[in-house]
Amino acid sequence: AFDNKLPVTLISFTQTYSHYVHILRKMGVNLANHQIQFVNALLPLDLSSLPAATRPHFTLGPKEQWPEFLKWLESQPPSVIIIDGLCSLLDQGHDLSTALWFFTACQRIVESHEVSGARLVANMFVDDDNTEPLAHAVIRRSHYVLSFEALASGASSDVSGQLTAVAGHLHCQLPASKTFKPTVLHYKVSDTTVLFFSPGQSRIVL
Amino acid sequence: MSSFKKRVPASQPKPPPATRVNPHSAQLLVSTGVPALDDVLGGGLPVGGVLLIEQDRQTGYSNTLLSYFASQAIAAGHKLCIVNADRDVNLASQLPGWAGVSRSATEPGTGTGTETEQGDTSEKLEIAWRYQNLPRVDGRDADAQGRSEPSAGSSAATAVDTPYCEKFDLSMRIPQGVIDRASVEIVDGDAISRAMASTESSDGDMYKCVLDKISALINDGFSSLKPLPPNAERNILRIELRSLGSGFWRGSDPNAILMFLHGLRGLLRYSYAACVISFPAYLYEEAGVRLPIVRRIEHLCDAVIELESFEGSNTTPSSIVAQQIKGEAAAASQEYHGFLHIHKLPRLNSLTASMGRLSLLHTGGGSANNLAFRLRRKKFSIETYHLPIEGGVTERRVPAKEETKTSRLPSGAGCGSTPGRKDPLEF
Repeated sequence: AFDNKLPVTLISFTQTYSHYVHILRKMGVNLANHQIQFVNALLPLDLSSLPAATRPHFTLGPKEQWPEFLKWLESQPPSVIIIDGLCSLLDQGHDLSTALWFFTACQRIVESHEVSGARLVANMFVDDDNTEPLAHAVIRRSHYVLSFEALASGASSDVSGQLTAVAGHLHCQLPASKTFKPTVLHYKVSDTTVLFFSPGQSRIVL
Repeated sequence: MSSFKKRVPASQPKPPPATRVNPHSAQLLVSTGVPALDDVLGGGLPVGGVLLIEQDRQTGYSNTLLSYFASQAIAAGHKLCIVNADRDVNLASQLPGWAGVSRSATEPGTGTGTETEQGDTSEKLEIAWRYQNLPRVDGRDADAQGRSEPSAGSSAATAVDTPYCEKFDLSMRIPQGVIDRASVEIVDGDAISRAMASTESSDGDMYKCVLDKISALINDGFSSLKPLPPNAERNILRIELRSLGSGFWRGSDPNAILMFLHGLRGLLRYSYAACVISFPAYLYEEAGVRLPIVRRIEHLCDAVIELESFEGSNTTPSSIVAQQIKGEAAAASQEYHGFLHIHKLPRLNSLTASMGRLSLLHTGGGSANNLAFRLRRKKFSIETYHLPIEGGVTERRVPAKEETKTSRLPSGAGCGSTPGRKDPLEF
């Protein structure tokens, strides 16, 4: 998103803004040159006392205050909306329909902008029991599904895991749907970047 | 050790005592009390983070780790909060002491301290008296020799003087006087029940009640959102939750523990507090397979380790005795008491865990060393697991019959042999 000069709205249910600021700095991102807005969804606290560099732009309150948040989100310029930890809505005590409603509401805002490049990216932790129904429901509303898993062949010091990219149920609506092929990539996470490469090519890339 | 001490400008706030900064993630760290565990975690437990210890079954080695954490809190002058829903907490009998605490000044009328003083005096007289006036060297800085026991908020215990990790001795106990002067708050089952009775909104949910209690503690001087009063120093709050999720914890919802952990993470992220939780994961199994909620609980914590004791791997106590009689794996059990599994490492302010770079024990990734722990008389240690010597050290390397055969060979048959003596080169 930063390479395409698109603004980013990051909604995090898992970490604080300073966590992402530290990581982005290590990755060489100059936040002064990019437009990023952070929404604190971890805990509904008054964070106005934080310094400006790490102060969230909006704090997501209880469910009754979500319409107010969605109005604010709609008033923002078209951007890439990233939701970190969508499954945390279930941890907070909300049911499946509420979590899905939140995701769908954000998706509608992105689609209403009709701007090339505006995207919605949501990540979640999938387990067998609690979050799998939510994952299935979100996949039915997605164009792409990226699954990050442990390396199938076992642990390795050169490879952190594998990424499986497949088409979502809405992928057929995209113009480039015929050229996309499901693929498996390996990736290596380092302090400053994440490298993706084809299986078996780690020695060439790393 | 270098005598150089960096001058901290007065305008900069002093770091809390007994803390250090991780150079890779700029994260404030506190010690768990076990140096090897600090090494595994990448220098220590991050302030604002949660360490989950999955308890060993049928043994109590995880309680030893918790006692180290609590002792380190008292030694560092940090505030300590212990939440234990199932039993009363008697710190005096559980917490390991350290060498400095036995030489500390005692309060009048404190029997334990007086006996310690008298014991030290008699011990000094028994040891060579000529060395009595010489400074005692016990492997630490000379500045720490005359240090009294740490007390919360004491101006003498500065961030520079307080060691990051104290050297504890399991054969010693912290005197009751030191515990009384330390800032310790114990929340046991009775206290939780009283709090639930007085609060109408708890709905019989112990998790919510404890979370409210922790929130009140954090707001009482440990929140990073509130400025400090002038001339006040930052301190650390250490929270210990024992056997979270056991049968004594009652929640209004089957996922109450998940809601609790999510709320706890949010509170800790904006505080100067660190939390260690012991969790009986073996209670969440069906037919030997863990329930999915265990993975969710692990996901909500920043660091997860598991203690798997060799004794606890047996299903019944009688099988423990049977295995000891048979002597199976006796060599391994003599050296180690169980395995330490690392399921998750803290990644606050970083994409990767700093353990891989800083750890001496565990290199991380595919070449990670297996770690084992053992409880010695004086300390709990975590080491790289090595297979025992083949055949064991207690078994005979050469059967008795073969030895008699070799002894019948004529002496002096080998080169350099001495008549009447066994040739060392003979094979």
